[in-house]
Amino acid sequence: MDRYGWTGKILWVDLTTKKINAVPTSDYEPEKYLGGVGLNTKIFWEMGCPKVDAFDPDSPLLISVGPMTGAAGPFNRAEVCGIAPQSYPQETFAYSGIGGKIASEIKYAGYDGLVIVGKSDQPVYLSIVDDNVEIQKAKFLWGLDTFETQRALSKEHPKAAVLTIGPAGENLCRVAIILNETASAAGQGGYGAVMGSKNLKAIVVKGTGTLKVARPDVLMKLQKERMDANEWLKGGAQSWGRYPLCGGAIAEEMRANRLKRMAGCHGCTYQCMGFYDIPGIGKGAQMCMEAWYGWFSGGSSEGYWEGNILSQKLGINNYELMGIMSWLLAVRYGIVGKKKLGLTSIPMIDHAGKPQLGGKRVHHDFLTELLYGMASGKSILSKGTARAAESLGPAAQKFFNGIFPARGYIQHHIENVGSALHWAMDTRDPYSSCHDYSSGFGPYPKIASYFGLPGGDMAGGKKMVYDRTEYQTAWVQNHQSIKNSMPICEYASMPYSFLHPPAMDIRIFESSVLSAVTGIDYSVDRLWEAGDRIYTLRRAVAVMRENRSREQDDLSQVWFERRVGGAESLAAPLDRAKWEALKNRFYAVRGWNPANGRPARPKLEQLGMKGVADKLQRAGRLE
Amino acid sequence: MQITRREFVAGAGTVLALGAVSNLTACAPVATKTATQSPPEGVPISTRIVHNPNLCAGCGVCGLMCAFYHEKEYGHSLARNVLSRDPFNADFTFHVCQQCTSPNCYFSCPKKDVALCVDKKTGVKYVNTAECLGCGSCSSACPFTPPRANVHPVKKVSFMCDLCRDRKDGPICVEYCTMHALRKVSGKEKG
Repeated sequence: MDRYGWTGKILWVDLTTKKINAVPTSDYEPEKYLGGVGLNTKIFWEMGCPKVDAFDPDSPLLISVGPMTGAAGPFNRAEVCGIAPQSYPQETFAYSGIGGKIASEIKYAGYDGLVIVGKSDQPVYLSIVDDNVEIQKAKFLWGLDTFETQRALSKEHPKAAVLTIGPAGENLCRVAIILNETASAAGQGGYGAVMGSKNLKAIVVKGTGTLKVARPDVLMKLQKERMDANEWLKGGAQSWGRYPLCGGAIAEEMRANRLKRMAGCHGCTYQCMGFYDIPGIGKGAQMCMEAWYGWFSGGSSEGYWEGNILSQKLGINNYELMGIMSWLLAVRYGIVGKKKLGLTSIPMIDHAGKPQLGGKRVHHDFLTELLYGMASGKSILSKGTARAAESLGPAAQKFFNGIFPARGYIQHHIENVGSALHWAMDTRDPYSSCHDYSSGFGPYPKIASYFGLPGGDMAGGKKMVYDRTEYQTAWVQNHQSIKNSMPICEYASMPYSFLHPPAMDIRIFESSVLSAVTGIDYSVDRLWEAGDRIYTLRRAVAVMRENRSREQDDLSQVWFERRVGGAESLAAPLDRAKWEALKNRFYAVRGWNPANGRPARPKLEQLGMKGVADKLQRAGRLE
Repeated sequence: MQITRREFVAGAGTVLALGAVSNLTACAPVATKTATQSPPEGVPISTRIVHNPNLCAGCGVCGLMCAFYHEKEYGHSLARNVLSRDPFNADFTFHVCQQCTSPNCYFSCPKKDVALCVDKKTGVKYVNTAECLGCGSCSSACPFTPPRANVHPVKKVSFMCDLCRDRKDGPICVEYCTMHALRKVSGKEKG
């Protein structure tokens, strides 16, 4: 029988014993958990949710694609899951998506996912060419930056896609990324350091197989419809890469003189990235958060671009860097001191008010000190802002709490009550896969009312709306789980990409393409149930592994005391009484126990997860 | 415009030169073998697909939609075109059949006109898969690197770009190229 959508195999690699084998995907109920985050979470659950540290050899690195991966369109992303060293105060089971070319190569090589456990006794890389999988020595790559590593490997493996870490990952920097090409990264979570802890420098994948489609004529028709609608298939709605997000003079300069051409992930018709070149600094693509240093470089496009290129090469999370910069500015020197930070000068402070904040050289020196310090593991900041602030004491932490609302991740579009609740419930910064608030229901009440949800609380001035917000958050959580598991790109599935009925209903498009590829009839309801199930399983993992409970479902206290978090933030502080009442209603909507936030048996059984309920009960974590 | 055999012979020098120039300029890796035989009689010069590397974003949708249209599966191994990518410089090169006026693939086919055929009306080269032996001689004879004809890894028959000759809207790679980097041009037009 032909396999549609899924390839039916998961590659299992133990770096300690060097044992490599393939296990059937069907062991993990792919039709119920789809792929990506859903499949990874299911695998982690079946492994028994290992209660080990992120850098323990038994901490697995899970990289899955989904049934849609390999098709033309915004479906070519992989999801990296595992115990996230970036999460704070407790390492959590989290996730991070990655685009580029890697996901489709994994699919064409014949795998739905990769599971990497153990630890090699020396630097290695994993080479996957269809069924031919080898663990190769990587001493010659150790210490190289991410670009150099990919170039070196492309000589031996032409046309292959490479996932690699930079020196930051090797040196267990807790905000290290895993990179493919120049700008596609699994950023949040710090999974680069998990690879580093396993002595795994890179994963090289080349596939000559195919994605088989159950109903090609139906899929072709759906693609043609989207194409003719001139929405995402024509590169319509989202194009942040064309104009660096930092805006102003830097964006003008980059766009006018430095943009070489547009770029995007493999197989996607939606060219969201810009490829820029500043001679003497470097070339690379950028899409959104690579603009981080643009906000701090006082108009210097060289400083901005060097920050971007250097962090990508060394393998450091740009989003966290934005948090570090905000925090450095907030704490200033008085509290921490330059010496403890390993910095000679911070241009934004020492040269404030001067043109370009002291010039090119000053930025170069600062970025070199900061980023090499982090990548070498020597700087206090290589542990991430959360742990750095903790070791510097309560005064430094005070500033940290405002900028980093939960689990050690910097504030990211907490702009309405719904997104605040989503943040409080998640295991990391969830926003990279839930723009549905700020790019959907918030500014467009018309979309929200179509789905019967509250909305419009970001239209014409922000409002704090608690009433029925539990439905909005539960909806977006389910949608997020579907997006991360089919998978479909966040940018292509934002509700505002589909403003006009019937195209407005993104759920219809998602369930139609998934049915066409897999040959399984996913009605909107069935797909939604899968989203519900995946989110609930993530919760079950958090309850099982991290003893997640209602008290932890919160933002830091300062968010209830005053307005914090910059421009893209709430209209007013959260109201504690209304917030707790909202949480009660939210747990009821999700079918979880309001007393402790644990999934309850009736809901688990309704979702076909009796086994999960039984396991939780045996562990004393149900009810 | 169609060029008959008589006109072709009359203006052989210019047309051949034009053909050669356009063939060579359209593809970065140059032809390594030269045509040795006369073109088939009475057929016009085919249209072909050209690539503008300055517009290309390197997404590879051209290859995916090609494989999907012709084989109902996605994967570059089944595409009739090849996109060479240098992601560190954002340089992308597209390789596809150049519809040579004197096609070595056609002359090398042991079942010429039955397996590898030339459309008499349009000049397009195409493979009649029902008759193809899968010997790969067309692929070996192709003057370009990488070769523009290949043997299907499962079906063991040859495949090459036929400009989607049975598709109403023309070549699918051109239609789905969102950057408008691909164009279908007449045989004489430079890429």
